[in-house]
Amino acid sequence: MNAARRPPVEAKNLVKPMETRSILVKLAVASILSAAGTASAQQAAAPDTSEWTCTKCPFERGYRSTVEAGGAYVDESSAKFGNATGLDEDGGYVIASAEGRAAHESGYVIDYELTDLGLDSRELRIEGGKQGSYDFAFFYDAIPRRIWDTTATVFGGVGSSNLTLPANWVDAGSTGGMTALDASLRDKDVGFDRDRYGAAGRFWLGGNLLFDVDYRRDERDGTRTQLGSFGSVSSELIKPVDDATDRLDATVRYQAAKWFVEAGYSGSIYDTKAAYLRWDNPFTAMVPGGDAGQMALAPDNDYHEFNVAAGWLGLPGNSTIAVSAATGKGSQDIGFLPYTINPQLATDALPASNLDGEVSVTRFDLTVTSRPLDRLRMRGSATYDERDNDSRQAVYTSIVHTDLFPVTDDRTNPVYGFERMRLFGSADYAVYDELSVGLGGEYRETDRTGTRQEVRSETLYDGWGKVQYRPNGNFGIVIKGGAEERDPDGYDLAVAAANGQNTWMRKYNMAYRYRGYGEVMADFAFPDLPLSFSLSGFYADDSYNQTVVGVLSGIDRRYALDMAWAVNEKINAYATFGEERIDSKTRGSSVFGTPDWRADVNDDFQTYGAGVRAQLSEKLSVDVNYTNADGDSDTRLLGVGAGDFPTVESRLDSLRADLSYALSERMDLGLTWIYEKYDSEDWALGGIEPDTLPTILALGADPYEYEVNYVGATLRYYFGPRKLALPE
Amino acid sequence: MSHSKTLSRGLLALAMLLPLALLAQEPVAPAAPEATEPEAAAAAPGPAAPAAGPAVTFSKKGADTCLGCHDDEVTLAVFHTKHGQPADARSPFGQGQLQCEACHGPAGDHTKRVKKGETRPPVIRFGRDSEAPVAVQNGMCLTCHEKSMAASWHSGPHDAAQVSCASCHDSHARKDAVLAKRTQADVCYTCHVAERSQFLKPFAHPVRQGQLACSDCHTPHGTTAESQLIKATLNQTCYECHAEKRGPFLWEHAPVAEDCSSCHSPHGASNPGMLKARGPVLCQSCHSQQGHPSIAYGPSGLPGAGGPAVSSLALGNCMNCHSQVHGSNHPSGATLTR
Repeated sequence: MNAARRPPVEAKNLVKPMETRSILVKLAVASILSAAGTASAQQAAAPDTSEWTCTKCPFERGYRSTVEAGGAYVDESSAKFGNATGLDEDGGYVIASAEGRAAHESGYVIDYELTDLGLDSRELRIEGGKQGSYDFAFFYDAIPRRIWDTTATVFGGVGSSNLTLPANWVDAGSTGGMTALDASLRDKDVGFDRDRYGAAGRFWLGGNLLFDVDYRRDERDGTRTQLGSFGSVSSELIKPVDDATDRLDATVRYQAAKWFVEAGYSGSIYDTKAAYLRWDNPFTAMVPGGDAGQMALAPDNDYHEFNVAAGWLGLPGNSTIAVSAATGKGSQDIGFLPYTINPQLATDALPASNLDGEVSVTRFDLTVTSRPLDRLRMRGSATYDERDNDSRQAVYTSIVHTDLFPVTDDRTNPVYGFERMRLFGSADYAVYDELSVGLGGEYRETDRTGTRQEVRSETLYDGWGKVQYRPNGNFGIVIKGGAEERDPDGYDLAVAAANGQNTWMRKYNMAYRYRGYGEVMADFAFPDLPLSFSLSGFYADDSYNQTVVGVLSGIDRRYALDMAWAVNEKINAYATFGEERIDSKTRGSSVFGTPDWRADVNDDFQTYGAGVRAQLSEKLSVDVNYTNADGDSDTRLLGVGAGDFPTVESRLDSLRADLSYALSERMDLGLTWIYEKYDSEDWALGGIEPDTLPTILALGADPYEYEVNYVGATLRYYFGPRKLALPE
Repeated sequence: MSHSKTLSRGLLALAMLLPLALLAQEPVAPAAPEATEPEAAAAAPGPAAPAAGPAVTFSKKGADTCLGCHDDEVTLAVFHTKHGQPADARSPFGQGQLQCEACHGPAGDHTKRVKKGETRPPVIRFGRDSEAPVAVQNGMCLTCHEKSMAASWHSGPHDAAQVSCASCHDSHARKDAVLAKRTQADVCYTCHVAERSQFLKPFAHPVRQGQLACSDCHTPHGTTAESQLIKATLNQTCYECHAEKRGPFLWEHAPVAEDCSSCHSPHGASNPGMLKARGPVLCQSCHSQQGHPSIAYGPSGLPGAGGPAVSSLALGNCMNCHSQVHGSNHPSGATLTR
């Protein structure tokens, strides 16, 4: 039998003739595996593909695009509804989108996609290249972050780093005495825009060499809330957000058939124009000169990492090995602000002009997967991860608490680091074709380096078992259960005492913890009915058995059920249901000794939804989706100060209907209606006006609540072929 | 350093040396030798020669045969995709390639005349309701894609759970839903049903609004990082978008640099800031200093109840004063108030 013959392959193309033969043999192997009940090998006769001219293949050539234009109307303003959607204001919106492709027979292709150009959540993406030679992409993504639209402030200069009180401001010891407050309030929404730009490229440099580069810039512009205190009084402020993060990832990779090596760089630079926030004190200054305060906002910083990786496939026992190593350095050296801006307080010179912050990161990883037997699959990995904080430590001798009160004791800034090692192993054995069992384990060591913490090192042990049963394509289930123990290597009571902690306390992230957990995932479909279900359940029970003061327990239970129903060829429906319940208990001591109170927190969250998509006629299709999400959070205090807090509630009802009608072969009418109602009750927020709390000047934000209707109508016009069809 | 640590680090070092040991050996020749002559390919030894059984054959004309029956919109959609690009010699429709049979396997028997009463032999189909085992389906994809994914797929949990490529990917769609930000999550929710609910919580990343995809944080094709994160650690993944939290800061808050998930639930939470719990209880799970940090803050401290504790309960609770909870770079910020 003649083997495949083909025209000479161009030198610059990646595929060599041998790859096709490799494909042929692998297909033969696939045929072997798929042949029912046969244990003997079968060999595929290699076809002469030179005769396969594909005359019927409707390869995409030329240009096609879809342009959508129209308008939408939102009947209520809401920051919560507009968060990430850009639909935060009531009124009209322009809806404009387009997508298209230009494809040349030489293989050059450009795709573009413009989405929601009339909204603050607009996107642009252009991709293209010559497949197999290079790819490129440019993108722009605007993500509006709308936080509050029910807030009001007395401060001027919002959006800048200087917040000032009006000239006629009357300060007082509590908000009740601020007689100019009401007249000074100005509505001010809080939120920012995140604009994301990027470019990416992938280049095949000949043979097996691949170069990947990915650049992205995030710019944020707007405001966020920030609290600023003077002693025991505080103000809700609006701080500026004006920063950018540049990221670059570049990788060179050599890919052979059975191995690869790769070297790369990953860098990130954060730059802010809002390095500080200064604000006037609206309360009567507790000490002379305490009329204003200043805090440092997040400083410029950068991180650069070099990494290498290699891997081998097809090793003995059908094994794969991958190793990687990385070393990185982060730095931060922004000039310090002064200890205080209170002109009445004298301070020592700062021990340094900046932190000279430096963090070194080192990482090694080895992963091995193996299939030594047809029915046995094993995985193992060893990972080492280190963060060394090499920042300058110095003694700060003139710390001033909230620009009012000099702190008498000198403080040395802490530097925290860690070394972590993780060993992981698992094995899965197919007892039968339908049934497999698995075992796995994990061992972790964490050493906390740098400034001493209460737990210097801890060890985590985790073991689990798993059963997977899939007798046919209609049913499959995976059940997994395990136990995990986090065991600290002693709790240093001397460090705890030096930190002023109650020595009965065991910090939640360091305390001894025993966790039992289980998980089930199942899917099933009726053989003769177009109905399928997916089910998942998860349970985890954390016990902090050695804790007297601190978190005692945490239980997380969640389950979810999805149903999909292909009613007929033209109608599909689905329904979903989910619930998660998290209960936790925390003990405390108001007498700095043994516990005398306990807080029980219960979070319950339920969701359900349903939808249907129907092609009602050749021209008309509808898509209707409904979602409901209900959350309740209860806190009960027992012991000292006992009582039940009001329930924190959230309720979301969302209904969306989309209709598409083909006006002609090239034009569709699209109609959309969204109804969304959201209610919430939050005792920490509800009913708190700017002057409700005597010691906090608030912004008066209300718990989120909205009832919004969105109606939109667009026309979609199709240029070029709407569908591919076989040649005449 | 304790003995257990010495032992564990020694094991790690030995494990690191393993690849070098393996490299010292000649790798076992693959079952399919890469012949350079066409005749050698025909004679290439595959698995052991059969004693019996018919040879599997390919179609007579490739796609022109298949398209004779399969000319529906779904089938033709492959020509919108990279798989249907004839100018790329690597793609199934590249020059001399096997076209439909590159993925669906030899279709010679499938395309022959079928006797009355007999069932037409199938080709490999992809997806949940395929008769072909996941290993076969994925084997077809990995024939071409294994090089680019190298070892990562095999080290990931999706491979271990025998998830088929077609569970997520649709090669016969003009737009593969899992590759688009606004539709990706719905594909993931097919199996990760609980996450659909979590992203509906009051405070969550904007996945529901289509502004973030699962792959912005996770690498579904496999990685050695925990939870299949795009970066080696959770914190480094978070810093991709939240670089202002990276520091280092003059006054660090110890758990922040160690693990963001000590306090936050990135898939969604009932508390602002995606916090697992709200203050003061959250803060009191680690802080117990004498005085206000350890007081029992009960409902008598709520606004309107007149209790003195209202400033530690309402609004930002502990953060009403300790607002620089991620760390402070201010010389007087030792208590995270500046």
